[in-house]
Amino acid sequence: MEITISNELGHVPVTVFHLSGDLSDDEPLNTKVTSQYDAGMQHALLDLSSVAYISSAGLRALHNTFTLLRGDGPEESDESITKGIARGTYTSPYLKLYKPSKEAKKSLHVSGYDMFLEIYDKYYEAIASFR
Amino acid sequence: MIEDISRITGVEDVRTYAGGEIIFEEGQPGESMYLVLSGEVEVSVQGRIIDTLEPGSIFGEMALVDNRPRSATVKTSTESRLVPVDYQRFTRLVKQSPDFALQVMGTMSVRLRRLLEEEVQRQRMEEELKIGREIQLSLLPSEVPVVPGWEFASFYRAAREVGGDLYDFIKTPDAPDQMTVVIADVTGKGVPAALFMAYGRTAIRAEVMNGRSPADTLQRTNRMILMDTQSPLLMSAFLASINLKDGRMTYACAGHDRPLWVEADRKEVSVIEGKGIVLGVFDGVIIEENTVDINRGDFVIFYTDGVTEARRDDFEFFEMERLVQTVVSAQCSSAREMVNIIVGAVESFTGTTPQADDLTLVVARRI
Repeated sequence: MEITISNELGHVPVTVFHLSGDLSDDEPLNTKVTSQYDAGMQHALLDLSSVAYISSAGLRALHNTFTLLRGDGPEESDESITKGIARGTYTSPYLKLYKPSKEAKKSLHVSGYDMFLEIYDKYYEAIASFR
Repeated sequence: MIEDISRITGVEDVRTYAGGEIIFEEGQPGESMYLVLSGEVEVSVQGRIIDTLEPGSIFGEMALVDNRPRSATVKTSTESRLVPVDYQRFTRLVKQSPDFALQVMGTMSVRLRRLLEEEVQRQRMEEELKIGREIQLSLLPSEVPVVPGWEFASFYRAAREVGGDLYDFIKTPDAPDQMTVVIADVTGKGVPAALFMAYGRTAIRAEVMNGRSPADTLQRTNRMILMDTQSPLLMSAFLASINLKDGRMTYACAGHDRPLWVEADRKEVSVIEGKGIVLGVFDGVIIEENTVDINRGDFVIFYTDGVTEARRDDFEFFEMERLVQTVVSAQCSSAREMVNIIVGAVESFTGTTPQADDLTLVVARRI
């Protein structure tokens, strides 16, 4: 898996991880995300346009990224999030996904990740959605 | 060694390489060995870095000794100055300087010892994986339940020595007409996934035996996973509690592949939908519970993503569409036959391509 990083400025600074290959190992993404987080990253967009497949280990990497970026305010407590997911009013304000393939979209849907991670098909719309 | 090599080489022999330059690659014929004068080089085998060499080290000597292709790739990690020593100079040095020969042998001996140690460690790990697999297999049902009016069949194959898939059939003494079918998949593979699978199996069994409904069981299992384990692993699961008398199936899904339902009278295949997130992500996760009525002759096919994500060598997936086509065109008169047809279709699709994921299949048929 190749991962390159770029930075965009929308309403807030957004770190974009451009992933290429299968997301079938959690270690490469975890390492890159942790180092960007340590450097101050708060908002991340995962560009999945070149990812053919997300395995269960890949889902774990998405979960780790979500957990790392998750805020510690009351609106980000487990209770608020699960209620928000049930009502369809919560998606992560810190982590979003861009253009997953059909197969990757299927994995996100089956696992229920598309219930709390927003998926965008337009790059600049995704960047502008972070506030 | 530096002195020996310096004696027969001149300044004109020293070559400077930029950082990231490949000196030679695995499989290439070996014509020279190299002495590192300054900088740093990385030695890798099949993409894995096995050594980093500093000034005073030599590399590439094996190909001069055994006249076989390069066994590793060597690349500079910083700007480096290297002195190549071709076969002619190498043999001259060996003849002239016993110290040089001994130092080359010493370098080779260190590398050989390291290889032996790694081999012992690899064998030990393989042995541990084998034991893990035996433990894991002992946790899966040794046979399918035999109950009047129903047929059950299953198939399980781990992608590596130990996998994270789980299936189970649970009968509770307090509800003799109920049978709970469990299918689950732990993220990752290897011993950690197998241990987590064993934990998940125990937690689910305990809740079902206590008379909990499928959604309640998954919600409580989720809480236990979050409370009791420090593991970063997650688990998807589908639970179906079947009333063996009237065919009513109450089910809940936690981020798992939805089963297929083949209705005998309508000759149609549909997906049994359900909403829920994989276990281990959030506390208090809300999981839907639904019911369907399974009629005589109907099949319910539970599976893990090892079926739909089976891959052949051109990276094409088996996918849900092929699974549905296989099921639609199958002329089955038993659950076992359905399992065999699906496994056969997956195997003929993938050929000999090694698979990354476990493959688990459970088929229930009401007769």
